[in-house]
Amino acid sequence: MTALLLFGIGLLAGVLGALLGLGGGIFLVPLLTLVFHLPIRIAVGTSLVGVIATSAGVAAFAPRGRGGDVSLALRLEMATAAGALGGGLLAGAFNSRVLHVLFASVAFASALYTFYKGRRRQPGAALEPLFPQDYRPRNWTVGLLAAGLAGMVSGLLGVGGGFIKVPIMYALMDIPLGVATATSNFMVGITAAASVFVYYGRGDIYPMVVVPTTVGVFLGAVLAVYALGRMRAAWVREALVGLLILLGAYMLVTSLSH
Amino acid sequence: MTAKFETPEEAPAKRLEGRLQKVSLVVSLAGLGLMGFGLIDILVSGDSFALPGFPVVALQRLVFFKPASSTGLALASAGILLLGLLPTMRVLLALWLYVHTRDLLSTLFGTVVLLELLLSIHFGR
Repeated sequence: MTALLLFGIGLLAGVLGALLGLGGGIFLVPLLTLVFHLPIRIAVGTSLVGVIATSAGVAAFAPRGRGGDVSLALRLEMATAAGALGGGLLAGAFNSRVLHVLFASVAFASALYTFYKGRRRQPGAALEPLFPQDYRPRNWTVGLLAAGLAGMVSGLLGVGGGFIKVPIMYALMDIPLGVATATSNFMVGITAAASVFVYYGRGDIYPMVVVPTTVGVFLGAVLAVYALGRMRAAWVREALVGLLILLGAYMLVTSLSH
Repeated sequence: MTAKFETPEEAPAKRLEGRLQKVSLVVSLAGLGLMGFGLIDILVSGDSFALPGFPVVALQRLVFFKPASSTGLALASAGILLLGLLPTMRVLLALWLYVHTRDLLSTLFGTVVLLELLLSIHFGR
């Protein structure tokens, strides 16, 4: 029963993580700590393996042309990694309440800008394609700066940062939403891989927790790949905006209880 | 009738995507398979499914084939490691293709990301 529950949680995280380009860690950590009362380090270690499984599932099963833009991912990842390093070093300087309010502010700002970007489209214009072939990234300087800032927020808050990377690519750099989520899935895999060995070396990864969860996450990601082919960009955008608002609200409430 | 041609810029990107897909498929299925067999072996050998269970086998122990407390635990740990190495393999593959196509800027970015990953593996030992 416990293994099935872990599998189910993994499946849910895999579907949502792959659809929205978030990796799934943002769902796994709270669920594992709340439902199974696991220590936070074990939950984070499990979620890091889960995020890599989401990234792998998308890369392995995405139809041609939907696996994400590797060149764009590596360029942005370089800025994100540098920011994450700075954020990790600065994390000790802020108290928990400030970090929670910062997380909420970033989530609300990302939601607002993504919403505004969707509304800016002409009414009656052709349906927004998720994976057009002829896009060209714009605003590289702003995009790289924002990616560095996203990395800093990730490092400060200890999260993968997919929830900031997708709005940056979509709203700031004019990357189509489908390409942005697939590219973000590639990037969060790299970010998670950079930390997973530290958790492995510390002995914070427990196969009894990781195996059922990861199998669920992988299957969820594969399901999401097939679902994404039948979805409209507007649905993905609205789901992303809704989730960002929920996350921001949760963080604000948590900051008040500290 | 319009013929569809690949521009020189498109061809390497498509080649890279195809290779990344194959590597991701093979490595993730192998990793998940090892993890699954490992868990089954742990349960068959008499351990009950109680969380959190035992932690993974240490990296040095796995790499140098030193005996672990159980075969199942060693198999599951190897599967987790294999899956954990996948993003590094994907960056390496991308880098290899960028070097071959003499895309210097992408090679530079890929090298920096690869160095970051290798450093994290070093610190994780």
